Amino acid sequence: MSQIVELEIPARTEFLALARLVVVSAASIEPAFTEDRLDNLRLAVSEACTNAIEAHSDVQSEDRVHIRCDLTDERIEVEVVDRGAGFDPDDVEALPDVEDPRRLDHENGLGLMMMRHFTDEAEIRSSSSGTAVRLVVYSLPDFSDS
Amino acid sequence: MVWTTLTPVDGVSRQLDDGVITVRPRGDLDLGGAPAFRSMLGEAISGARIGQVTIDVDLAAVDFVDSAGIGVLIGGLRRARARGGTLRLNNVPSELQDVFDLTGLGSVFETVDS
Repeated sequence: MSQIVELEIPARTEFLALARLVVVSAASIEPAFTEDRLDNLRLAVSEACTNAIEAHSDVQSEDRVHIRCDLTDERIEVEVVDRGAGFDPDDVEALPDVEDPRRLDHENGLGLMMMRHFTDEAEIRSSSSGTAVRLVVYSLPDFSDS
Repeated sequence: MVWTTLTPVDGVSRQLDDGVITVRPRGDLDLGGAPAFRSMLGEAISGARIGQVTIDVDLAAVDFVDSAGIGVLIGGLRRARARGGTLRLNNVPSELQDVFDLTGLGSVFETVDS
């Protein structure tokens, strides 16, 4: 049976830890999720919420960031929705190779990669009125495409 | 071995030992914790003599690191190298090691044993 947990946080960095805590605590209710899976979820949710908070900051929005968890015994689906200006996920600049000295000039740019890697499904829908990030983590990891 | 405790910066202490400055951040190195961590690292790097900048970042007391914290480490390494030195990591959490393995950044950062 699906169970829904919803949370709205002010778009401020002080609430990042709360968002992580609520989502991971909700997933922890299901014993099928291992510690590794919960760690993966924590990291991916942090990246999604970070992007949302920054998106609101960029447009000086006072709106809250909406986080919705849909939990079953085999998967948790988390959606993070912001009201920022949106972006084109296909237009994100690629980082230089780690062997390239210019790599150290880039302090940002890992978030999307980490969301994709540490979840089983990651999807972004973005428009000029905001962005929704959908993350799915299964209780048993799916490494079929890694 | 003699340790000299310097003034805590934003609740995080750092210690000086034979030219190596050890920075010990605590808590969450995320978007919220990144500014204080960046400031602390910057102060440590700028306070070291040019050519003798060895910054050890001890992550033992860190609870969580995401891309914001990693970005600060990348920037710290860049600034340390620009002053003829380096930045090393100690007590790397397994979650961070996973990210390093994913991104290849593990080959960029030197690690030191406790």
